[in-house]
Amino acid sequence: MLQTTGGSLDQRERQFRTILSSSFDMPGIARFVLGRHWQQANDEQRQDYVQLFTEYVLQTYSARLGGYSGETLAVTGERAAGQRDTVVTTRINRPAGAPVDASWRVRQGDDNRFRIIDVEVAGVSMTLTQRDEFSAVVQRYGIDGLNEVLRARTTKAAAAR
Amino acid sequence: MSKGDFMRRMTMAALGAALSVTLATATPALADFDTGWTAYERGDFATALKEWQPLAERGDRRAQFNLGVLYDQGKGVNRSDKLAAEWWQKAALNGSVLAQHNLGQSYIAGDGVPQDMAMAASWLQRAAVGGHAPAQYTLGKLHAYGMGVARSEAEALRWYVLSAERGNERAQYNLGKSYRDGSGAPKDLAEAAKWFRRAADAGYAKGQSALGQRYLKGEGVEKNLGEALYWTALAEAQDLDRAEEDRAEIKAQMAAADIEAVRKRLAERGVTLK
Repeated sequence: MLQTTGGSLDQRERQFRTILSSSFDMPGIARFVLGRHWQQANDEQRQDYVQLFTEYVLQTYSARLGGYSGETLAVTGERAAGQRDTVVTTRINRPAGAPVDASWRVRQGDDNRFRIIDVEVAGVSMTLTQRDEFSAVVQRYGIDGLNEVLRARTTKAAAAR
Repeated sequence: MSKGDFMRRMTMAALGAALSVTLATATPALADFDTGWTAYERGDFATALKEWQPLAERGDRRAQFNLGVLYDQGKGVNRSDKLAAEWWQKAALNGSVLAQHNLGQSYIAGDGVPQDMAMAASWLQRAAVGGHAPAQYTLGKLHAYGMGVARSEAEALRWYVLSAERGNERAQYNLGKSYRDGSGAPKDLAEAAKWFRRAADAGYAKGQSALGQRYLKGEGVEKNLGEALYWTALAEAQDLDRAEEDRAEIKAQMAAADIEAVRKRLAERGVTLK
């Protein structure tokens, strides 16, 4: 069971972020999500994209899952999926609000480490949803445009005094 | 009671009412906002919401902006991009540059509003004119790519300059690129190196890598392999893709003693030279 406790909001989110960042196969997910457009991108665009996508995912999930103090994540099940994947189901209990059920698709990499390659929240796959959305953006505004869209999502100003 | 008396009394009553409304909103308003802020910092978003909501409804732009953030991040409320954008729109109309920036970003991303680059540019322009450095930078990008505005390298550069001077490291890096490549600005290698250095000093990985390349090639600065290795290694420590290859290439050209000197300098910053 994973629990983020104590510390400031900022610290809790950072804590969650560290956990997420070491457990996701970000470059793999990023590339999968971009699909065939990956081939059109130059080196700098690819690098910017992977970095922005990673930031986007980390920020989204650490803010959504790590913000509450006293939040707990409990593993509720595990099953094999396809040839090489395992799906771990979890329930995130929050002191306020309904619990959130999430499934994490895990794959063993060439280095034998297990990393998360997809998340399903309420039955919706993160990677498949994003793949459709990104493709529409790239067709309209190109890779640079997609990178701007991702940056727009990750660089909103935070609450201020 | 004469007509004059009546008017005088009405005026007094109106003034009194206005004054009491002012006091009622002004005095607790400050306290409420701060109570909300303290709760927010604790992670008690329900209390933050309770404190800020009435203020926001009465037109307090700081509360309106923060309420937008709560909805954007689903803190104390069910996440709603739509409500986030609505509160930011209210705060933006009330002159909050933070909200103008975030609303602009929402239009770029299509978060809670239809994706609309022209609307994005128009809100970012307001925040940019208000001196918000990240908005200035993003507006520069929209001009550079012709998103929602006419494509113009010169206009992009104008906004990068303002943003860079306000310390935005991405803008500093992009300004360096413009001077290096002569895009939107006359080619000026010394000026390019100056802006790459500003971004590098701020800890921006791409700036560090670009400055390393200036030293490697002796463009805009005197060629110096030690400096090239130093800055490239700092970028590598931040996982910048190209830095690993660049670092190996630079090291291959250096004497062992010179490499050791750089290793020592990096160690002082807690970075291990690979």
